[in-house]
Amino acid sequence: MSTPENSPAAVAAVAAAAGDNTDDEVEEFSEEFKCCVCLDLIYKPVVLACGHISCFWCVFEAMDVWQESRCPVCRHPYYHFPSICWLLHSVLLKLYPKAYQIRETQVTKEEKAHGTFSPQFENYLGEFHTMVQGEDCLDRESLEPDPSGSDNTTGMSTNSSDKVTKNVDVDGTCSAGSDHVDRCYKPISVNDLLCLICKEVLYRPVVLNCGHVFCEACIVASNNEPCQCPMCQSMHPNGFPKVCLVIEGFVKQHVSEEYTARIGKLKTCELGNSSSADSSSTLIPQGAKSSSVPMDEHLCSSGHKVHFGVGCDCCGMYPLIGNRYKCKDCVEEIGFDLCEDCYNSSSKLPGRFNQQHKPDHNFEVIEPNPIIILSADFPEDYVSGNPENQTDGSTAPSLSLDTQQDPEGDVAGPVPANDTSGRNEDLGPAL
Amino acid sequence: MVDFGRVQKELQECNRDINVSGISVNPKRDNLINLIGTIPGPVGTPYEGGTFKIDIDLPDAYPFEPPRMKFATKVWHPNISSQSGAICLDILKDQWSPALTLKTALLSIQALLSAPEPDDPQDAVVAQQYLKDYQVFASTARYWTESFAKTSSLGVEEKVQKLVEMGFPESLVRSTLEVVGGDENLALEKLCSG
Repeated sequence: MSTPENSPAAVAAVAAAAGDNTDDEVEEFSEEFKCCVCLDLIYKPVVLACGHISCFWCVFEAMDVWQESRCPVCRHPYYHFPSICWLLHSVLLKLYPKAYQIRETQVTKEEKAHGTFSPQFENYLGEFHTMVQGEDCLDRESLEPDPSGSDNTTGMSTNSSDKVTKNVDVDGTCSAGSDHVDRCYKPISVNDLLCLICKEVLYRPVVLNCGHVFCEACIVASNNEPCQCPMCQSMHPNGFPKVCLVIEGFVKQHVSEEYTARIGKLKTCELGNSSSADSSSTLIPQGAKSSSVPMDEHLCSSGHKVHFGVGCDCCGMYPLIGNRYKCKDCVEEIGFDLCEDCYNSSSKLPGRFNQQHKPDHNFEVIEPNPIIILSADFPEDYVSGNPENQTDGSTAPSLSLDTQQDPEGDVAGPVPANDTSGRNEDLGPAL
Repeated sequence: MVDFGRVQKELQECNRDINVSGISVNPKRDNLINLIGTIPGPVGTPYEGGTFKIDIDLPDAYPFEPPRMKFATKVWHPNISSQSGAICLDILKDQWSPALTLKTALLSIQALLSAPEPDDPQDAVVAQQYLKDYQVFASTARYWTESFAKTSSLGVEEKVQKLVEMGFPESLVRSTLEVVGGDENLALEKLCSG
């Protein structure tokens, strides 16, 4: 229902919308890379735990200031603003260099106008490289002679991945430079679509809160613990992530040979030791799969501090719950805040909005603002937008009541809540 | 700030397959905040054959807030106010999602016409009638459709003539018709109210 358009050529309007440099043809992008919020080519893609993708700013703006947010497409609840998925970012950059660049120009202009910033690719590459550096050479080595046992099945893909390992190096330095044009004209290779763990082409890809992409089976999840990113060790708090169908479809389409080879290999594995490992999809413990978002109960049970409108710059929790650690030395207007867990963990990523936070900065604990919520944001809109009259039913009063109770009802905010039953019931069933 | 880029794309996309869906959205005046949508009455309902106009106002935060929609064409339906045209539909309120569009919202309204929810009414009178005496409800709804939703077959000149014959000055009639998007009933209402 939410993405009903099926005409594939629906979205050639990028050029028209962008206005500038339309001398050359701008690529038409495929429907699956259209952001469901801005209806434009996804820019700086963020993948939610349910596997749906939107632009960085679209996700940010669509998030709920007061309570858990819901995926615009499937309404899957989530509390944490995921980091940008750089794998997808670079894929889009290579796939639609011109259209993507037009989007970049657009968004940069908007950011300037609003005085905001989004994470930069360069930063990420630096961080990524230092992070992977340790095992990097190891991995490269193991990649080049290629998986020992599988020579006969994937002879083809071995060669191709050899070739592109070099590509990546070139590419890395290229994109770290300031010139945006050169970096674009690289064809998509199998190397763009590898799982960081098994170093093979992604099979049933999942994207974690930190933006890293893995095969579903490569993530180890224990029953009740949130899973952890094997690359950056950050937690993935939104329950076990669902397979990102867009990436999966893309892999199938663009590196189909490698993908089929991978599946073939998985099948032979399965036949070989059917007792220990079933198909990769069943490797995930059931408990982990269903343990999504325990946060809500957590919230309601104890009178936690909720910092409305403030998010954690590390894990992306929004609104921030519990102790809030605010950086005293970051000068950016948007500020730099951490939740208790992230403050205590050693991982200090760059800020979500490109704040120049340094490890030697000092923090202070901030108490939540006393909330003057009720009149602040929504009531007028909902109520006055709806001129009711005498003959009408009771929707208006119950609606205003409903919206007013929302913040407390769901989040156990500072006002005693008498409606914890969920906000939809007031309005009755979906009409 | 309304995301005008998106609104523009929505209008283009919606009006591209107007022949299939019958649903259109157009600017009311020279801005992209006040729009007017039209939906055909669903086949097999008392609304069949009618063309219903819906007033759309986009709030500043659109698409992160739902568009404000109400019927401009009078309609007899348990979930639509017979007086104000206000619509009781969850996706126009707390169930809105930015992935929905004007077109999908209008489609939902069209679906609401096919499937009334008298237990969660907007217009209590209509809802009671619907529950107590469906036949009367259906014929009233059909009558309203005939009288209010079927005027679009008239050409502009015919509408002008009709209204002029009622005694309104021609220039005023023309400008009023333009303001209300060519709906002669709305124009008449406006002319009468001064």
